[in-house]
Amino acid sequence: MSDERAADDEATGVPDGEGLPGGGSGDRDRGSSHPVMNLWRRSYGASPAHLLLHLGGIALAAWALSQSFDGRYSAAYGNLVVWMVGGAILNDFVALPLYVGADKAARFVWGLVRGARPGVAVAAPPRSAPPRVLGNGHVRVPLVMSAVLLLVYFPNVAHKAPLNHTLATGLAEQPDYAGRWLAITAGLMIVSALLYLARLARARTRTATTT
Amino acid sequence: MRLPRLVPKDPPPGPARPDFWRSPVRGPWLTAMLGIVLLIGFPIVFVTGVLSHAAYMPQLGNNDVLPRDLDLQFITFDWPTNPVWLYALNQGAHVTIGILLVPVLIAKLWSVIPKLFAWPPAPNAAEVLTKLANLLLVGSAFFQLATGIANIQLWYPWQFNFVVAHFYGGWVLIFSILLHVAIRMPKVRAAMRTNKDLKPLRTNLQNTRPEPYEPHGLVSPNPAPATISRRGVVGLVGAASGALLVTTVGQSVGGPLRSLAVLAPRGNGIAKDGPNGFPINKTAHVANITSAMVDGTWALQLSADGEELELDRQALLSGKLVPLRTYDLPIACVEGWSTTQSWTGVRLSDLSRLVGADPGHVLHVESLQPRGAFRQTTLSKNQAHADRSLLALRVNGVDLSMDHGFPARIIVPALPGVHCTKWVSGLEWSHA
Repeated sequence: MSDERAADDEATGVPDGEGLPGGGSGDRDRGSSHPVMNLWRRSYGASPAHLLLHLGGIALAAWALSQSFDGRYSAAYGNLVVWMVGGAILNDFVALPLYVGADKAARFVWGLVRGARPGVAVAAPPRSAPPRVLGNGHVRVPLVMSAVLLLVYFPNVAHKAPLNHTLATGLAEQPDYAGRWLAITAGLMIVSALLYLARLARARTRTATTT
Repeated sequence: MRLPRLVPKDPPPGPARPDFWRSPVRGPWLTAMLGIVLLIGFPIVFVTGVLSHAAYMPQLGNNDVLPRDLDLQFITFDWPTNPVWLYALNQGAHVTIGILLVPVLIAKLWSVIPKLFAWPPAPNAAEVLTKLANLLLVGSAFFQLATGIANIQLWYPWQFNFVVAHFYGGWVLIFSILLHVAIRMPKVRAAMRTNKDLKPLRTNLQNTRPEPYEPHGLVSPNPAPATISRRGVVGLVGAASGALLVTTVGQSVGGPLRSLAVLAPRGNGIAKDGPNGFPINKTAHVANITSAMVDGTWALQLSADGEELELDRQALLSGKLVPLRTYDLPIACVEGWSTTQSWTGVRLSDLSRLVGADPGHVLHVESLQPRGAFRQTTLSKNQAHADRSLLALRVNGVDLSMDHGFPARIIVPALPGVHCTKWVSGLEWSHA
């Protein structure tokens, strides 16, 4: 199967034959030497079904999209376009490199601190070595939880719409969302640290009893 | 047939090279797993969104919240009044599940990021269409989440109509999901087959290995040692969604959970104290209701087929013309929060008999509110004559506060909150 796919990819230049309907096992017959089919694949890059599905799906999406671009309600077309594609661009080209980079940098620095290369700890340590409890998760989990809370509740935390809140709720003051978020973050960190210490202590006693 | 090469055959250094991406847990199984969660979640959010639109019953009177001449509004029906928590459940699910999907979507996109940079960027027409479809899919997914989440926090940093854009964004998303599923389902099946019984969920970090390498696939040709297992990734996403759930869902469920909803817009600490201390979405001040409009001179105008009647609050509260009823009913906002209170008032069906309205009539409700889309509403004949449909005068044993609609407001089971008209001035029964 994979040979066949590689051969096909070679011929068509489709990375992975990505997006071929039945891109897996259902497409075994695509290696068949029907000349018209081969010509089609070579020029288009995937099966005719792929083209039909995409034309149909994209046409439907464009229909829906065209309704939201009705001039009476979305006069600023550019603004709507920016919002439509902005999330995808920000995630793929800004947020992802930032969080992947932060994770890498943190592990690199931690590796320097420990005098070991990051990731080496995965290899089982020799039996005589002191117990090691990986701390990655104990940093990642609370940080990711906190970051996601901030991402979703950023308007509340950053106090973005105080007037609307007052007009809608009748309350002069909003809750102190920023303080709450900070408290949650601190709480998550502390709980995570305590869990880590507990695991470490357990690992030590276990080694002590087995040796 | 091959076009002349515009881009070099070999990828430039960086993310376009397959060995740039080194996570050993990235691969078909993780992508399929996260994809399945989104495939369950997003359609629920879409369906509840469309149902919410139907719950406004845009086919009646001036209930339409979207311009009637725009397409894709064909899902309309007589929204039921039973169970009474139907709209609370629908909107709680719509908003809460949408929020919970944020970390899942981000993780799913992390899992497929090498594909975005795959070299060459556009080898053929098929790949161009695939990328366009992916842009529609990912763009509309983020658009729906971002606009919905900003809306519930009353923040509108854009220059378009939220309701129109969010409604049609939902359709763009569901069409894109259908296309994506049609194309990718075989891969999901294959990934699940090769990891029978969710095996990676039982594999710890030490035993985490990359999936078999395939050229141009998701698996890294140059995997680094694992620093997290696949179940660790699933757990990490679950923990993030769990944190959102705990800080959000109480605004819809109420009870002791409301105090846990510390970040949700209508959770902990977002109402005044006392019997009238539950959330509102519009103050009397904003609606331009003054105390002069609702003092002793207020009277309710009833009419049906030419018959008219005027009743002051005293007459309504006396219980002589029509009996007073008390029901515990939820009121639920389109923004996802809801609250159940004990409402006292007169039944709309009892009032209808005073002016000889027949059970086939719809009910048009007018408010004292001088302006605004929800200063009036039209209730279906089912809603107008349902057992527990009330013109509420009191709540939790005291008079309604100004902000809750004094002197009288509509409370109809399972009716969207903004249609539970406050500061009611007139009720008119008529044929639809």
